[in-house]
Amino acid sequence: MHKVAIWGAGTMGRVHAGCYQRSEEARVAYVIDQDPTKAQELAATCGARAIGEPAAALLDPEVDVVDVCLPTYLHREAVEEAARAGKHVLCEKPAALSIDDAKAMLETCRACGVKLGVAHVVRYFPEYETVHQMITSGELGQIGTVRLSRVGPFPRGWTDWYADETRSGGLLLDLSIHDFDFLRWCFGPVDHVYARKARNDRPLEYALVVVRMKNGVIAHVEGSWAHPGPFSYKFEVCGSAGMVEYDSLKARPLSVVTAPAPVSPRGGASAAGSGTPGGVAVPESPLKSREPYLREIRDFLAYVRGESTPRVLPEDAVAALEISLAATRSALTGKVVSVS
Amino acid sequence: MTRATGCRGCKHSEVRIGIVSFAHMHAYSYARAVRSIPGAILAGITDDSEERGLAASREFEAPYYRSIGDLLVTDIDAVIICSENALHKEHVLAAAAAGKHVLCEKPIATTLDDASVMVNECRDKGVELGIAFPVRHAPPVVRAKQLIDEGKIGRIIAVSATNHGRMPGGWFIDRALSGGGAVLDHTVHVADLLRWFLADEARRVYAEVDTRMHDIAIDDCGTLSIEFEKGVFATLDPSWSRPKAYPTWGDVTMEIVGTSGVVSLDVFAQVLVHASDARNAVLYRPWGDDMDLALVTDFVESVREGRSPAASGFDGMRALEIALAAYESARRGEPVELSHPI
Repeated sequence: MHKVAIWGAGTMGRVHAGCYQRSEEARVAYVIDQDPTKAQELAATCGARAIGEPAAALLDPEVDVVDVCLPTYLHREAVEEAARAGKHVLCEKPAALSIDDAKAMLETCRACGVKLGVAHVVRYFPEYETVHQMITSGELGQIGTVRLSRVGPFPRGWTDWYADETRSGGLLLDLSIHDFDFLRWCFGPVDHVYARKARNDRPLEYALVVVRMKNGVIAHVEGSWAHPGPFSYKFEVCGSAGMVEYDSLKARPLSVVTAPAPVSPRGGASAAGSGTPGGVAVPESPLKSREPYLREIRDFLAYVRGESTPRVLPEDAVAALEISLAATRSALTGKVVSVS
Repeated sequence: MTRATGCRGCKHSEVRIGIVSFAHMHAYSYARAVRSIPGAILAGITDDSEERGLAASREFEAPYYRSIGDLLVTDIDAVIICSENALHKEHVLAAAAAGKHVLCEKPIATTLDDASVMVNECRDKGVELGIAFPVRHAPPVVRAKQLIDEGKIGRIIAVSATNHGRMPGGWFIDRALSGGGAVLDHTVHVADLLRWFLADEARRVYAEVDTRMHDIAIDDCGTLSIEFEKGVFATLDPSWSRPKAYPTWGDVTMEIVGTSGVVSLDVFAQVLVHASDARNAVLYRPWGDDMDLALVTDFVESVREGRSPAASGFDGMRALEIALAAYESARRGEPVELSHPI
């Protein structure tokens, strides 16, 4: 049974903690967060100990895995500290803000003899796995064009770190990296990119990237933190023997809509109980054995035990970062940028 | 001489239309449109394929003329030209010389030089030159334009667009007649919509262009990145990427992103999904307004009222410039600055 310290009790920390608990291969022993309320709330859900500083977890010989779910600019320091304490590390994507930082993380983990995983979870989403299989099996023939889209509202994280490019790397590094990684997984290396990106004070970021793969595939990546509606993702893959299209907003096996809460005589809405606004459909796409975050965690734990090679190697995370950084440079300069 | 119907731009109470060539399949839809518009007459047909022309003559109950010259000496007011792209120039110039107004299928021509000669000749001869951009007339597109102009989504910052289709074969893949493949065929519609929505001109085009999905000697796929003078950027996928098994011919979509909202446009989404055992296929059955009818109605009215049609030869030329710049960019591997020759 693995003992895990979750470092960062934000959104991804909560998702990962739940997966470890459900995996039946691990239990969360520590939740590390400088915000004691957040740490305690998450720790309480999994019977873990809440701590404000990592030392107690890193010194606990029973802890073998540290899961870094901190904002991107804190990844390198946290990963290296955990590695030096002899812990295997799963790090949220993107690995880091720069290639130098990412490579230093790989090197430190290697030197310390610990495994490093980077959580590019899209490779575990069953819809992406399915089209990946269709592409690599040749079922779609020679692929001509690929369109990938990932859109949603501007993320509001702790201290608004997403809005600060020096801490998040911006949209192309934080969001579109999922699609860049998926392209590499399906088609191998990228040859060059051409990107245009807009920012606005609203805040808002929107980017359209043309990607040419070394194997000739023409790809288009849309990334948006400018869509006020629900977060959604889409893809379209067109080949000489057929095409596939997918839209997460249309793949909704379940949606629940509740009657608006009755208005009380004094004019205020009574407690609805469900916490969701009445009259608004809330869609869900439930999965059990194919749940992506759970399988990502299990894949990493099997890697830690030396049982298998994970789907995402640390080198893949560096390569995805290179594409994101090339696109960011292209958006800034207006030039085509080659990807080594 | 004007009659009581108020026809200022034509010689009769009806607007008399000729069709030059049925090489482009849209000619059939335009012919039906002309015949259904009150006050419009399909007065003659010519086609360099006599067999095709005679068949159309029978189908649409209009006289067949052996040559475009024979058609142009009749008392028609205007022609709709649906010949192969490379023949547009010759046919438009002949019509202009005969004093006939013109609606020309897109793209206007295969080179910018040809396009500018056509625009100038029509202006000099005092005839209107319209380009068939029917998508401008689709009600969802008209509504999108209205929402944009009302400022519903704030200031537009970018547009992600597609105009997918099936590989059409025939003369479309013969470079001497078409002038280009998917990128020429399917860039100009969205290029026109972008210019219209943004009230702005493109200044820079980058593109990837290739042949990857069909065994043909012309481009079948690509992606363009277009930047406009005021800084808005757009991408467009004009690929012939729809398989034969796809339930419809293709699409026109635009994700229009503004500073305070998004307009998502899927022009051909007004369809039924039809599972047909007879055809062993699932098909989309459209039920929206007929945009070809709206296009031809606008043209007929423009002739009647002596005004310009919705999209002019100039608009057609600017759309062509974007498509040709895409090929140039793909050849050079870098963005191309547009020079706007006229």
